[in-house]
Parts: sequence; C-alpha cells; structure tokens
Amino acid sequence: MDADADFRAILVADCGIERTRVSLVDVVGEDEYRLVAQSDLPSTVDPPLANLTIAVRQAIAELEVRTGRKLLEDGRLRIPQGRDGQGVDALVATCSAGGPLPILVLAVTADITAQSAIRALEGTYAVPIRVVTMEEVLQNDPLAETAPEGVWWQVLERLCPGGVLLVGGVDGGNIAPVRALARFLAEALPPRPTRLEHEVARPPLPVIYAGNRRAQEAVQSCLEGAVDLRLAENVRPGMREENLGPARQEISRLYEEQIRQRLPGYEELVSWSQSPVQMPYLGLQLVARFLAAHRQRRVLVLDLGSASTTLVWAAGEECGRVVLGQFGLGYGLARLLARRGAARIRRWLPFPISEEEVRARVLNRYLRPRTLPTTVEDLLLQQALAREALAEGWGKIQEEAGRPEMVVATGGGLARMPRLAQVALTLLDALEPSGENPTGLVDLYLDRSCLLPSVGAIATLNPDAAACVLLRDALLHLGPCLVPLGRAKPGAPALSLELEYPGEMRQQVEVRWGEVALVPFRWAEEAHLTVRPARGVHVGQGRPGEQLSTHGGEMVRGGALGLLVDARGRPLLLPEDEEERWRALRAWWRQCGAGTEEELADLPGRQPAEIPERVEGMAEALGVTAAESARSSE
Amino acid sequence: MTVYYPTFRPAVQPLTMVTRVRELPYAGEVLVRVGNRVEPDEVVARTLLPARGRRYPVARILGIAEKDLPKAVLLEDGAEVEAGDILVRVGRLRPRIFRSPLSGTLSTAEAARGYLVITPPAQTFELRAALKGFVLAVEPYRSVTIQTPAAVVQGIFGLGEERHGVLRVAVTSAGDELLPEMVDERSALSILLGGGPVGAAALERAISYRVRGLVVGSIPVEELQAFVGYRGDADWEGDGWAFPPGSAGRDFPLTLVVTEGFGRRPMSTPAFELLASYDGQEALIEGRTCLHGAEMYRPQVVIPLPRANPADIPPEEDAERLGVGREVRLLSEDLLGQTGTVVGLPRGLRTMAGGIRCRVAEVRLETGSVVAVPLENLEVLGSVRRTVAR
Repeated sequence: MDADADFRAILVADCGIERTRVSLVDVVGEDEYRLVAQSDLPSTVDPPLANLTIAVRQAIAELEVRTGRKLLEDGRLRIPQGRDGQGVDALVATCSAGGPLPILVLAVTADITAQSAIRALEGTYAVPIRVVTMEEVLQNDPLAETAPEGVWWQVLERLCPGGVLLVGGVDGGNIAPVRALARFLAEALPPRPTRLEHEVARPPLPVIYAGNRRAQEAVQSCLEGAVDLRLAENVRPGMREENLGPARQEISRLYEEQIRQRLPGYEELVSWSQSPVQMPYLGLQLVARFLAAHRQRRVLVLDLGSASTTLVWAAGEECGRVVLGQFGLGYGLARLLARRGAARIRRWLPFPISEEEVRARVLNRYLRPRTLPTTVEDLLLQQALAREALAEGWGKIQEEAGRPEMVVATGGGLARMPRLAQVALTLLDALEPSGENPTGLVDLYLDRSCLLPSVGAIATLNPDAAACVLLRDALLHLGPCLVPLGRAKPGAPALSLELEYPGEMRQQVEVRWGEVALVPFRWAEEAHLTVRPARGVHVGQGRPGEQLSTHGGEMVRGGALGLLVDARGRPLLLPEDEEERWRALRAWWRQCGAGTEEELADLPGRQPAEIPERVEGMAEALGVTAAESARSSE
Repeated sequence: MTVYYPTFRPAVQPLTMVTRVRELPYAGEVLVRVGNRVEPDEVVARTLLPARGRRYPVARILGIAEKDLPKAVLLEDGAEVEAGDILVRVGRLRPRIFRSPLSGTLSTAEAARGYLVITPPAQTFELRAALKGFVLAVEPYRSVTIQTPAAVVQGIFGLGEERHGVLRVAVTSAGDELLPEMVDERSALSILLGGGPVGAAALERAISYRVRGLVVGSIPVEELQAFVGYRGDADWEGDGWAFPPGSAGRDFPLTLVVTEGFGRRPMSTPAFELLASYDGQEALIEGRTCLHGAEMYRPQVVIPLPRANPADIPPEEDAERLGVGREVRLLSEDLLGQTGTVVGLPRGLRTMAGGIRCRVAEVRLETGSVVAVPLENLEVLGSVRRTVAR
C-alpha cells in the first residue's frame, strides 16, 4: 500500500446525464478500504442550472452531513486529509453527462469495412447516424444541379457537433475507391463563402480516416485544408483482421473535444479531479478484466443507464465492449423504441396493452425521463424496456463474448429496480445465459450503488482501494443460476438437485420444465451441489441425463436470492397466444419472487394509490392537523 | 435523501416577465432603439443572407488537368458574373469554353483542385419582433432584446417555428378533441386552442386554412407519425436532442404545441383556463423542442400583457419552490395531465406500488382524493392566479 499511501481518503464523482453520484472511500479498520458513504442526486447539467458541478457540490455537502466530516472549505475541497480526519486526499471523476456524438460513416461498401466502422463507433459514445456507401454517393453526385430531399451530403451541414468516419479497403489494396470517396466528400462540403467570411467561420468538419493505409496520402491531398483531417490505422487491415483500437481512440478524442469539453462546469470538474476525468466504460472494462483475472472466469459486465447501454466482456487477457450511445431507459428511450420496436417491447408485458399504447407510454417517458414508475404496469414496462436494451447490446457482442460464467449488472436502469428478483429475471430474459461451462452455473451479481465506473476511476490513483471497494461494497451476489438445456414437456420434471451443506445437512429440490425456480440457499453459505437432469435434459457441458456434481471441487455459494434454476429452455420462447403468454410471464414473475400475487391481481386497470384515510396521520407527523392541510389546499 | 431540483420554470404562469433576444444570423442593421414599443410584425433588424455557393468541376468538364485551370480562368477572384458569361477558355485551334450557369460572385479559391465556385447574390433577411413588447436592449449590428409582461403556458413538446396570431378557442372544454370540422375560414392566421387530442386530419385541415398554430393537450403517436411522415418505429431514431427526431431545421407549415404528451389526454385545467381566458388576444407560439443540453428548450405559448403591472409579477425563486399549498401538475403515467394541490411533504421514503421507494408529496386532486406522488413526478404550476389588466 506504500505507493498509494498518499491517497487514502478519496471522493469519486460520477456525473451522469440524469444522476450525479459522489462516493467517499476511506480506510476503515486496519488498512481496509471501504465505501464510507454515497450521495445520489439529480444531475444539473441542463438549464436553468446548467453547471454539472452544482450537483457535485450539493452531493459533497450531503456527504458532510452524513459523515460529520468537513470536506469543503470556502467552497473548495479540503485537501489533503488532516490528522483530525477532516477533508480528503483526492477527488477523481467520471463523466457521461454529455450525450452522444453523431458520426456519418462513409464507406466503400456496406458489408465489411462499414460494419467494422460501426463496431469502432459502438465502442465509444459516438452514434453512427448514417452509413453512406460508394453506391449511394455515385447515385447522388454532390455537383448535380438538383438533389433529392435527405441526400447524404445535406447531413454534413448539420454535423456540428459531429464528424465523418471515412473507411474502405484493406491495407495495401486498391486505393482508387477510397480516393474517389474522399474527392466526393471534398466536393460535398459547402464552398467557402466569398463574402462575410468572418461571419461564417464555422470550425472545419472533423474527418477521421481509418481505411487503407496506402491511400492516406491520396486522402490527405483531397481533403487537406478543407476539413479537420485525423488519421488512424485501418479498422480492417486484412480481410479477416479487425483493428478497432486506434480508430476508437481518435473517436474518443473527438468526443472529448466536441461534447465533454463543452459541458457547462466540465472545466471546473477537471480542475478538481486528481486524474483525467474518465469515460465510465473504461472503468467498466477495468473491472471486467480484474474480475476475469481474479475469479478466473469469463465475465460480462452490463451497465444500463439513462442515456447509454454498455456491455463489456473479459476472459483471461481478452476483452471487448459495446457502447450504445443515446440508448437507455431515460434519455435514450426514443432510440431504444426505434431499434427494438413497440412489438418486441410489448411481448414482455403480462397484461392487455396495444402497441400504440406502448409507444405512447415509452415516448411520454422519454419526454420526462426523470419521472419514476409508480404503478406495477409502469414498472413492468420499464423492465420490458430494460430487457430489450440489454438484448440489443448482447446481440452485438454475443459471438465474441462467448458464454459468460459471471454476469455483473450495474447502472440506474437495473440498480433501481425495487426487487432483486426483478433484476435477476431481467438478466435471464435478456441474455438467456446457457451455463454451458464446466460448472454449469452462471453467477449473477448486482452493483446496487452503481459504483463500478467509480471503481475504475479510483484505480487510477489507488488500485488497492479500487479492488477492496469492488469486492467488498460494489458486488452483491444475487445467486448462482442453473440452466437445464434440452427438451421436455411443460410441467414435466426437468431436474432434481441436492445441496449438501458441511455437517451433512441436505436439501433436495425438484424443478419442473418451464419454470423459474428459486431454491432457498442462504447468502454466502457454501454447499456441494449435485444435479440430476431428467431424460433428454442436460446441464452445462454434460450429456443428456448426465449427473453433475461439485464434490471434489469448489463448493457453490448462495446468493441474496438463493439459487436460481431457469428451466424454460434455450432459446427462450414466449407463447404465441396472448393469454398464454400473460399467464407464463406472470407465473415466472411470481415463481422467482419478482412480485407479489396482489400486484399481479391488480393488473390491468388498477386505481392510483388513494390515501385519504392516512392523511390525518401524515399531517400529524408534520405538525399540522388534517383540517389545516385541507384549508391550505383550498 | 432526494433533493428536489426544479428542472423547468413553472409550466403555467399567469403573469411573468418574458424576454426574447432576436438575433441576426449575420451582422446587419438594427432598426429599433431601446425603449421603442414593437408590434409582432414589425421588422426590428435586417441583413443579407449569403447563399450557398455552387461548385463546378470545370477541369473535368473541359477535359484539362486540374493544375491548368487557374491560368485558364479569364476573370479575377471575386468578380461579379452574369449567367452566360465566359469564365474559362482553353485551346487555341479549337477553343473550349465554360460559361457561367448562374449570376453571382466567382471564387477561384478551389481552381487548383479543378473547381470554380459561383455564389448567387445574397438575399435580404428581415428579422421581425414576433412578440409585442418594448425594446429592452440593442446589440449594434446583431440583436434586439424585447421584453413584455405576459402569461405563459409551457408545452411538453411541439414542432414548427415561432409564429404569432390571435388566440381562438376552438373547443368548449379541456377534454374536447379538436376535430377537423372545428377548423374553418375564421381560423385563418390564428392560433387555435384545442383541449384534448388532435388528429392528423385536423392538422392537415388547419394547414389548408392557413392556421398559424395549434395548442392541444395531447396527440396519439400514430397521428403525429402520419403528420410528420414517419413510416414506423425506426423513424424515432434521431441524431440529437431535437424532438420529434428530424424536426430540427425542418419547415412545418404550422406550429404545434402539446401540453401533456402522447395519447388521448385532456389539457391540464389551469393551462386550458388560462389560455381560454385570453380568447381573441394576440399570442406567440413556439414549437421548438430540445430535450437536453445547452440548447434545451420546451415549446411555449406567450400572451403579451403590455398593460400589466410588473410589480405584480411573483419573484422567480418563489414561483419555482415546491411546498404545501402549491399547485402542481402530476407526471406519473396514470395521472398525467391531472393537477392538484400539495397538502403534505412527508419526510422519509415511501414505498410505491411495484416496490419503488422514494420521497413523495401528498397531493389533493381536483376530484378531492389525496394521492402520494414521487417528487420526481411533479411539476410546479404558477402561483395563485392574479387579476391582470389587459
């Protein structure tokens, strides 16, 4: 700990588009770093407050009240920590409050390089707003006298902020197509006006070239002086090779310049932060890699936020990510609706509702992203949206990420679900993990305090503290999940399992095909697990009917929910018949403890929570009589 | 602990001070002075709007090397040319020429790359006040700031540019749908006040009768899709924070302001009553909607009240504060559009249906029942209505 001894008490500010969280980490007891307190407030980046540090200051002030520790002095951070324990040693920050960076992809063809370019963009907060291929460019010559509405080069004039990602060809290949694209791009840019030049001095359009390396010079000669040209290595150096890192770096740099540096209060946040203000997805990547190394498992980390959805996987030395900008459960709902469609969202709702109504509710929520769901229907819609958001991200990296053995969920969209079982069911529905690994189990974790991006930021100053906080405070083990695979009739036995606790106490459970069972298994308790699948059913990498046991290996550990068994089969198929689908969804919701019978009985058409009989008691607590409160309402 | 941050100004303000900065896109001439009274149609500033130049691949057209173009150009950079003027001549025995396709100013800045650029003459751009009020400030060559006491109703989203007209009440109650037959010749050039929803057919009819604006409580998603020309869910994918996606910079023939949201909902009573009480009065309607960032903006209807006493305007911080006795609009999906009065602000967290725990306010609805509503799902309406001189 010597190298990090200078940074013992650390404040971490995580500035999101909707919430700002400030956490205080310090040494507790004997050299153990722990999360001491956290404050979570609405962000203040939008007008009328329009300064993201207002929420940070407010959160720090709240931490002062909670911890009794003086952190601010004359409006400034009290650094370093004094002997009396007042103040902190450093503040670090992460920030994703800015929203996405729109990028136009200009590619020779739509299939190979354009797809690599989109993958490069989807590893950052940039959003591919349009893919323009050579074919479209040739059809719509920018020098033509007339142009149809919505032609590609009209988009260029609106790209502020924004930029162009120009790609094409493999390294060493024919340079003619890329050179032609660059020339067309130069022709499509608005000509410099002859008069009023000082008036229209718009910054030149940023263009990142990440195509055939041999064509760099040709592209430069076409675009030099006309645009702000930035060169990166080819995203497709060979037909079977992909190299996204350098292009992503350039895109991130552009995001920093065009979006983050223009955020009101960002400069002040930078001046407070001991290390560069981090992108949250980099923190998640760090966490995923650490967990993969520490637990020796294939890890998937999911962050479902208001305006972005991030999925990061890691296994051994390998890792990858997908970041979907302006795609989340609040400020990202319009894009979520656009990409997934109302029909897919609706299929998760266990009550009668039309697609039009789903669309209206989703868009109303998008217009007021900070509102909370107050009815069971609203909550179910929110969770349906969460499933679709995660499914979209998972679909993009599933192939490379393989079969995760450990799933870690974070972000307000998941952490704010009122019941842990709702999180688990959402993860199972969206990811459909198969548990096809030697243990046959997938461990589900939830970061309830949304600490993971902060952990990444802490690691830049004090890796010990980051690891400690991650393992002790951030990760809540929801439980191991067993997924029987194969075929059986609904209601027929799927498997029987036995938990054997030290001291020879045994617990046996039978699970039927088609249900999501919650097996009682006390949190952090360890036991040996023996699974006997029914005929035609297998678990993990076993053969149909083959018994799986942890005897002779590591024991299984119970989670906050116990042990989950998802016996619905893979792929998860929802019944086509409406009423059957509602029945199935309600049954799963009930079986895993995501909701109560009463809540389900209230669906649909329940009345708002009327509380007239309780007004008197509440008013008394406030020191006013019911008569007074009634008078004040008149 | 949750801290209540009011994100917007009160959605319904019977009397407030409205300030609008009218800015020229390019430097020009300001035509009014500080203290002048201005009418909505009055031109307050004027400038020349440069046209987008057109680029001609002259080297390619004439079949010459790009580097040879600069010396073949007959006119100087910046020369005024007429359509048909010869700009380039190459070859001696069989000369090839390039004539200017349009009138404008010639630019040879890109000649070395093989192009000539001709920029058509700039157009005169007149900036109108759009708002009845007095000139508070003038920035020479650039902008005019107009101020007026006014009643303001904020919408949740809208579309279309700033327009002004006479406010006309087209329905009888806050829940009435604005039907196509309610739009007729008398609606021309006015701003129509509907109550509940509006359909695409009524919007199209309003356009045909040259209605300038519509204020409604709600609009079904499919009706808006039909009106703006969306073909499906995929069109909701935008590239920024403008709402509806793709509306930024698009020219709509009328301006629409929706106060509550999507679906078929009535307009909240205070908003409807306030607007209806100014039937026949001049109003400004703004449809621009931006949901996030420095340019965040909600659509509005502004009714200038030049004879109101500025001393009656409640202080801003007072207008925003949430407290017992304040009138609020409820934003929860099941109560959206309803209004009520805060009767209690209990401390601590309350568990809502579905299990979410949050701080709530107890709100007495217009029906008399009291509901617990999360603070996040409340919007403060304006202070108590005052009598305002017209």
